[in-house]
Amino acid sequence: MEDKCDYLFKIILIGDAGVGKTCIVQRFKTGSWFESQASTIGVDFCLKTCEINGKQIKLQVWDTAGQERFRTITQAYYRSAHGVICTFDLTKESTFDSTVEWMDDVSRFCSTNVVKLLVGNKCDMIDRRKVSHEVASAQGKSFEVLEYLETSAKENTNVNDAFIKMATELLKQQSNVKDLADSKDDQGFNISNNTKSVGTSCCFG
Amino acid sequence: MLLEPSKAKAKLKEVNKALNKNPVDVAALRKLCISPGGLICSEARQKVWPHLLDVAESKIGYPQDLRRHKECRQVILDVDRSGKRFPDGLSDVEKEELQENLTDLILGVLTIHPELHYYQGYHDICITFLLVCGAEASLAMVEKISTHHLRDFMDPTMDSTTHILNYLIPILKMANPKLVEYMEKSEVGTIFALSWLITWYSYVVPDQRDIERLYDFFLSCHPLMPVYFAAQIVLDNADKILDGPCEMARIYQLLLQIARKPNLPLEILIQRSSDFYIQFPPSSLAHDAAEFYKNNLAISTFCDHALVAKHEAPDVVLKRMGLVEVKKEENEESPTEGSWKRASKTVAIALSGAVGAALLAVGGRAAEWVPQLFGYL
Ligand SMILES: Nc1nc2c(ncn2[C@@H]2O[C@H](COP(=O)(O)OP(=O)(O)OP(=O)(O)O)[C@@H](O)[C@H]2O)c(=O)[nH]1
Ligand SMILES: [Mg+2]
Repeated sequence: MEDKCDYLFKIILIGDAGVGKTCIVQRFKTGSWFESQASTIGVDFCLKTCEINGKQIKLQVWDTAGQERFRTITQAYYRSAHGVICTFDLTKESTFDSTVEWMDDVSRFCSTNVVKLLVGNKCDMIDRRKVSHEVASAQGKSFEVLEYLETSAKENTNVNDAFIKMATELLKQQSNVKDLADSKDDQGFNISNNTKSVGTSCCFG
Repeated sequence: MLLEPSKAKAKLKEVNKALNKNPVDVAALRKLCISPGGLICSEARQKVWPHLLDVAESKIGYPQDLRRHKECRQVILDVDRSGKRFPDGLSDVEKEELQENLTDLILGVLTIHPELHYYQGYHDICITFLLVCGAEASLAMVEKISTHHLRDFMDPTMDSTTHILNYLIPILKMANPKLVEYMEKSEVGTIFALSWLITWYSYVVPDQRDIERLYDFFLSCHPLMPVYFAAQIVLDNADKILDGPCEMARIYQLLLQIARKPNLPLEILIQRSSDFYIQFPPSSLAHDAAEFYKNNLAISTFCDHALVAKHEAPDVVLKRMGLVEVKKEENEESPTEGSWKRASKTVAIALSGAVGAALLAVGGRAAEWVPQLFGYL
């Protein structure tokens, strides 16, 4: 099966346990909703291809465990990430408060030009909402995120959008880099000019 | 892989014989747990496991006020998401009861032992005991493995767990240095095996019967045996790892998927793990594991230089233990299913049994069994 792709981006999902990271990833990957998703232990991984502006984009999605004690382990995966999706549960204020610490990790361990999204999940539970759009949006600004989004993995609201927005921005960033210095080593973002690795690095999964 | 009915029957007979001895012949039970098929069925496990853990006479009960424990919220979060592990066909009421029992079991042990810290994945181990032995009997058993086999995973941090995971590398190196070189070049690390280790494979192995079979084995062996087993899974798939680009993501995903396959050749992997354990016991690997740890970017490295400097070179250890010849022999004849030697198998089983018994007798945790590495922590 020939599986061509022009760009490969690594995206990591972080946030407290139970906010819905795995449900979001599964919704994005398979389009379905699994009610009884098991807790993530360590770091899970999946791949998904999408097309943006006629370009084939391969997304490597790293889904991390939310429990505090796994943090030292997941931090190792920040370094090579191009994008970070920091997730909280709109119905649990404590998970929103934790985003400060999660974002602190991001600034410590991610590369400086990493693209960040802040995502408030479970927006389907309208009557149990504890964090307002304004407050979360302001928080997002202070984190210098690309955007603050509200999602529902359950009702498939904004899930695809989140990943597409992320990928589009990464693509834009990439073209800028290319415009600036075509010869410069581009950190392996663009694998299309290395024909040997195009087929192989994109064919698993 | 199931035993033929006649063999299974004969085995169960032996299990009963060992159980009926006075005192119960625990050494014989351990051997039966390790040899093909393990304890065969849940009924046998229900009777034997308490003896393996020396809690058959134990009468500990559930403490009061469990739901006040500070980890209660996290535990319930995981218990609520553990439905996949439950047997098919349970009614909602039965499911709810099982979940209540699971929460009580976890919080029970945590309340008895405030020094133990809950981790996501611990609940997966508790489910296995609950399904096999029920709520009453499970408390003493889970309490025992939590203070022994799982003790290091329940530290305040995951540092010890990461250390233990790093034993994977020297074990792999003994069998396939080329593979290790490739894996190190890809920077895949050892985290792919984290969930294998801390859940005793119950997070990944899809069939409950297979999980129980593995528990027969692990309950009868050294706490590091799950790492030896992980190494065998990787080695068994060396061709697939080497046959493709040297990329972290590809190899990571491959390894994640392999363990989830329904037809993992359990018995072969168990045999090979025992064999490796005998040839390359933990003490012979300590130096390599420390060195890998030092070079691993991910984790803080507060004590590793002292570790490496103070320890002997691994081949010195091997020579002293008379293991260098064994290694050469192994190289000529790759450790495949066919070459697995009858003689070494018997030794492996006997020794693993002895080690398991001794472990519980002295009340040690995994870390104390590998002083070369952990003495400095
Ligand atoms: N109502 C509602 N529930 C959701 C949504 N997304 C996830 N959930 C529920 O939230 C719980 C946790 O979801 P997970 O995806 O397992 O959470 P996680 O962030 O991956 O948690 P860890 O793996 O423990 O870090 C599950 O029981 C889901 O059913 C959502 O959009 N709406
Ligand atoms: Mg998850």
